[in-house]
Amino acid sequence: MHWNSRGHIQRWLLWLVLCTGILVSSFVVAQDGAPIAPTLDIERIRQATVFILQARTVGDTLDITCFSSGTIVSRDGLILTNAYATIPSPACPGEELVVALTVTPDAPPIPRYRAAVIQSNPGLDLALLRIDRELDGRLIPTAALALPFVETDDSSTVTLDDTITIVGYPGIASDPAAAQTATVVAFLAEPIGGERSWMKSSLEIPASMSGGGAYNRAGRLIAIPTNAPVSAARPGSTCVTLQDSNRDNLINADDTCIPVGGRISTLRPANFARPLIRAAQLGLTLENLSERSANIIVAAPQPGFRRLFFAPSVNEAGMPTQVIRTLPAGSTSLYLFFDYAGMTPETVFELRVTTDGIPNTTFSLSPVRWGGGARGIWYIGSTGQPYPNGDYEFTLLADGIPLESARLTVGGAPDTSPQFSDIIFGAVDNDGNVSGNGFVLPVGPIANAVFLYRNMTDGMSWAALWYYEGTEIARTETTWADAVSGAKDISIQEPSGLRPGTYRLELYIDDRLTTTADFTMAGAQQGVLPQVFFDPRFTSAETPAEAANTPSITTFSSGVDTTYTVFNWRSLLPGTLWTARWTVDGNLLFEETIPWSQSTDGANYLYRLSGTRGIPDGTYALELYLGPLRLARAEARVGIGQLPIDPFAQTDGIQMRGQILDANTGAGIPGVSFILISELFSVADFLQSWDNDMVYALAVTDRIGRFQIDRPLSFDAPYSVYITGDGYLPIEADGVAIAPEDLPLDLTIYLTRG
Amino acid sequence: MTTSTNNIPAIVEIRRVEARDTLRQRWSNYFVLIYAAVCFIIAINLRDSILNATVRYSDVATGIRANYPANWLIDDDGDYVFQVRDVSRVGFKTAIIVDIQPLGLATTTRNLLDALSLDRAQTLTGYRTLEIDEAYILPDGSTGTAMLYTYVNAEVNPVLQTFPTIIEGLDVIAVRQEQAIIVTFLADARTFDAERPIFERLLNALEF
Repeated sequence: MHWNSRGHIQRWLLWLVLCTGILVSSFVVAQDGAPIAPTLDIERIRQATVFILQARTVGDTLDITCFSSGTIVSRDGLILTNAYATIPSPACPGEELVVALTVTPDAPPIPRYRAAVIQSNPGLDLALLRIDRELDGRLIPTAALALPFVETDDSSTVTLDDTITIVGYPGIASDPAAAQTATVVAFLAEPIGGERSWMKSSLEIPASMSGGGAYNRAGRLIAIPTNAPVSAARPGSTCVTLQDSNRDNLINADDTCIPVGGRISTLRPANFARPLIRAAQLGLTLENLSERSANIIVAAPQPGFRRLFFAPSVNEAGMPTQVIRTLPAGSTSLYLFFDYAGMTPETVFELRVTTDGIPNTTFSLSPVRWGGGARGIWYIGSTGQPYPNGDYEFTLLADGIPLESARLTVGGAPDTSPQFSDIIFGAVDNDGNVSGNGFVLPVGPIANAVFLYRNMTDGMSWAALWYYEGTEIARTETTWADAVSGAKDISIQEPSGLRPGTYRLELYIDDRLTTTADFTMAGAQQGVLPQVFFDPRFTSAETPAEAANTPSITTFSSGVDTTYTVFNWRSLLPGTLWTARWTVDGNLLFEETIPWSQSTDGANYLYRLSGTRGIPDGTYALELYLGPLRLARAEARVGIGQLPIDPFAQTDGIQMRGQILDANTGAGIPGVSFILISELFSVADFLQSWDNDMVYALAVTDRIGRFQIDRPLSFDAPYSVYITGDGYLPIEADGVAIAPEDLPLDLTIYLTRG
Repeated sequence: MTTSTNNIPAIVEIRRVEARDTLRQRWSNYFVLIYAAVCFIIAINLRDSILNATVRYSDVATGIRANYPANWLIDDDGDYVFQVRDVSRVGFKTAIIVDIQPLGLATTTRNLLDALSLDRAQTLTGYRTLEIDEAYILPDGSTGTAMLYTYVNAEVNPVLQTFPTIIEGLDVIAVRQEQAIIVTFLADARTFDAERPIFERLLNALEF
């Protein structure tokens, strides 16, 4: 009985061990030990993840200047990565980009190609590279590449607590690509991208994984880990020395030090990168010819921040609804506003948040490139996620140096003190009502502001201060004589006319700033919206100079290689931020928000849109904005007015790979053709005609018999397979369908000599 | 044993008696041999006909007609008129490519060859021109130009471990009116000469 009982226990233990083993083996285990969803084709993602070395030519050698991870997003070699480590700059001065790939699983990457930047947005710290040369400098025809790649997904569908997998290279080309699972713990807002300017992951990753990818459960790229290390020349920076750059046969502090960051948790959502990818895949180049000719050189003073305050929410124009001193318990929305000056795209910006003195990584922003202009108002914050009670300190850093900080207490009851909020601006109509779009007013003698007030009492002192381009131009200080709560309008007048430019209104109660907002005066009165930009048109011309005088064209023939877009403007002060958005078939193609660089009034602002293989058929549009308001639009059709479908641009499905072995010896057979026939045809159809049009993909085995189909297979489509190699009996099969649960797919096929 | 009457052993010669074939048997043998020989010849012919079987290609737009080897994969979607490849071959897939290039009034065949060489030198590893024959006799008796070259072919998929292959290539260029037809043969340098007859057969039957 005793022995029987022990045997029973042993059998149970054995079963337990076996079951545990089966469960564990049903997951692909990530490097950090966290399980990765079994539906994720992590091998393909690792293969599509590259390590990018920026280098400069010194004599006949290449010196590494910066590095980052990157992700291949098209089969012909488009790589999405960070801008800071790829675009030449004082911090990263290299002019050559070397791309290293994972050739052997679980091995460090091997330098294989060179690449060039073809699209970039330094403000978003995103760059798109194209592999264009072999490592030895030989050109690679675009069509010759068939690389493993991943597809981006709509990052706006990501929600808090979603599981993501972050892939990148944790070491400096000395470690294999790592995959680490994390969850999304926060979204951070900035003016440049709205509520989802940044995602925050629960996991802090090495800075060298910056530029890699964060993937959802479907294996699609939804964000790019982003970090900008402080330049090695700045105090407080961290850097590593890898090479004997001064050729003194020693690697020491005298050699070039490559900036590296610490650990990061900041991700740039992939939606910001999709226009870059779309433009590159279409082979389109957009040139702002007027900005190029403006050639403004502005001396960059030291970066600085001032007027830090908190707001519970942001209006549609990016202005605070009110200024707060405390935040009630259970609040889920908070924004830090501040004025900035002396910033450049090179400036490394960082926000450190502490709660009760303890670093709070959820609401902090890792060091990133500055995304705004040289000066203005900015905010950073979040909504929809709870702020635990505590004393918060927000510290702003520029280039690694703490410059300003502000404190706020979260907790307690809602603030019942007197308050102004929700300023909007407009003009007074004939009935005496303030109307307009709220934040952009036509140039005129008067500007009105309407704001809400509550908890006011008679006799309270309050003040309204008006500023024009940062200089106070009017001040009203008086005592309160209105109701306890309601709406009130005030105005500023100038009989000779208010000048175009940016204005600010600050409202104080008892010398306490309670709300503030900026507005722009530009253009002429024309209905609700001011007429700032007018006569936008597409046209065709031999030269930019001719484009100014050629008539508007709304339909271009297929294959046109260059179009120009021209518009005129009035009453727009230099320095005013404006936005140009280009779309094709309603999808964003390019967007730039820049300070106005031309004279106040003028004509023929010029863009040139060109395509390397001609501009693809589609409906193209240029939209011009001031703040959130679209003020002008021009549209033109090319060809049939609809983009062609690229069957190679999809990664839906599965990447097939495997190994073909000799049935007798078990050795891999090199040079065997694995022909995957389209689901529309059978093997018999194919063998009758041997027509390449029937072939979905063709792969040839390597020296150990391994093969990889370079196009993803659609799920549940009945493909046919024909495997042939001299000296072996061919294998054929019809109706080969793959289901999503078959991931990852790795076949082993035996061929018999015959 | 056989003994004689005086008890002296007799010598008995045991001889194998040659069996004489009957006439019928002899003819049967002859027929077997003839049958085997005929079968062998048929098999050889069958093999040759299979190996040398061709498929007709015709392109109305360019006026090109050709007979390409059966069971070779044909592709006419690239930036050429058509390309056929022997995908059953282990290693580099022997290929024949037919292309047409427009010629200007001042353009010579040599200009075309130089352009091809420059283009290939930019993209092909170790590209070398081996020989240019400007008096190459085409199947119809006219004179064309042939260029023999070599380069190193490597797998484009970076994650596969493939040894580079030395490729030998032959361009045969014929000029008709204001266009040049370029017929290119690419094969592993080790099998180039053995496979060249396939190319010659295509060239002989090429109409343009």
